[in-house]
Amino acid sequence: MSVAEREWLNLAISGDEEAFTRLVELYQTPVYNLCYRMLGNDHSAEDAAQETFWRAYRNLKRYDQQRSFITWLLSIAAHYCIDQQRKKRLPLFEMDEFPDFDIADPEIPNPEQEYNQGEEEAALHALVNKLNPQDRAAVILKYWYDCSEEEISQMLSLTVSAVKSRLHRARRQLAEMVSTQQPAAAERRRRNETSTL
Amino acid sequence: MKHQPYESWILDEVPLNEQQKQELEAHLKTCSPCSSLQSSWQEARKQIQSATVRQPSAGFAMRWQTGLEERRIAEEHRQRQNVWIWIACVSAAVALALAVIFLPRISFIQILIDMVESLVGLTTAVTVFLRLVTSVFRSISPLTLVLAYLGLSTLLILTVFLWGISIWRMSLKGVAHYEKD
Repeated sequence: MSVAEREWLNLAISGDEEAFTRLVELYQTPVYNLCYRMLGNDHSAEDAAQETFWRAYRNLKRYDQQRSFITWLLSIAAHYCIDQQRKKRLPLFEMDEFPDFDIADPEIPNPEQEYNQGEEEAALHALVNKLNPQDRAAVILKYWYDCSEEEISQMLSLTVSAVKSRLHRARRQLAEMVSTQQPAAAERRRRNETSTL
Repeated sequence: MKHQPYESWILDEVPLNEQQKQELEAHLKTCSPCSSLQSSWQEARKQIQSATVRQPSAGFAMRWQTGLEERRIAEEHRQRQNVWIWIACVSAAVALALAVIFLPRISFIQILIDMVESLVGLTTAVTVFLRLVTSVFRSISPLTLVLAYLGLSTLLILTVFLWGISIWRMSLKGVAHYEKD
């Protein structure tokens, strides 16, 4: 954490709302990305990320300054998303995740490539969403955030051995799912490669 | 064919020494389930790690600031509501407890008689009180009367005001207002 960030954090703890907003600006992407990977759609991810910052803001005085601030934020986000998943227990993939082709966008150079990327993204969601919420959180923190097993255990309030066994189970499940999806994935990749040529 | 410890070596991502690596390679050449497990896991891992970081739409921090005020107001409203619900519940509980204690001992007719007696007693008390007040008013000066009236009114207003403030403060307790701490 830089000196400026430390200063903003101290100001935020002492009640400076502007300083906390700067922290929101700084950490919005990692928090949002975690929520998106956990919940699988932009609308829920936005709500979850906003809720994460609200919970952090309300509990700022309880934040242990020995811990990394982003780890604390991600921990709040992961717990919130796990709770949401447990409440819903519904398929989370939404059709609006596909790019909209009705509106021509000059920023998009290749609609077919965009479509294929959307498909890849959808396949990834389908893959990760089949894991149970805590296993999913462990996988996301491990492979998207490079967290160690100790860090994951702190963030998810689990023991290190529980994290290890969850990761083991999740990897096996993912491997099994990929082995059943492989022909479709190969086709997607082939299409993607062709469209980039 | 035995798949352990090879499955664990594939899935646990622990660093292997040279001998373990050779053992695993040799096993993978002869065991198709383990070989398939390894390639599938590598593929899954590649898919996960190749995904891009998702960004929130523009104006996230601004939406946070707007939402903060709304959440605060909602939280204050909820807490105020909770305080009133709590007061109502306590009052209802007290009323219920009194009813449970007293009602079984008294018959309905007895309650009516008591009510009539209480009304008669109250009327007598009010009459006596009014006579007393009239005699007091006749014996003291108008200035003292005005001062006493002002004093009592101020005391009453102050009490109601303080009671209102304490209820209001209680209803806001717990809402984040760091600047006021």
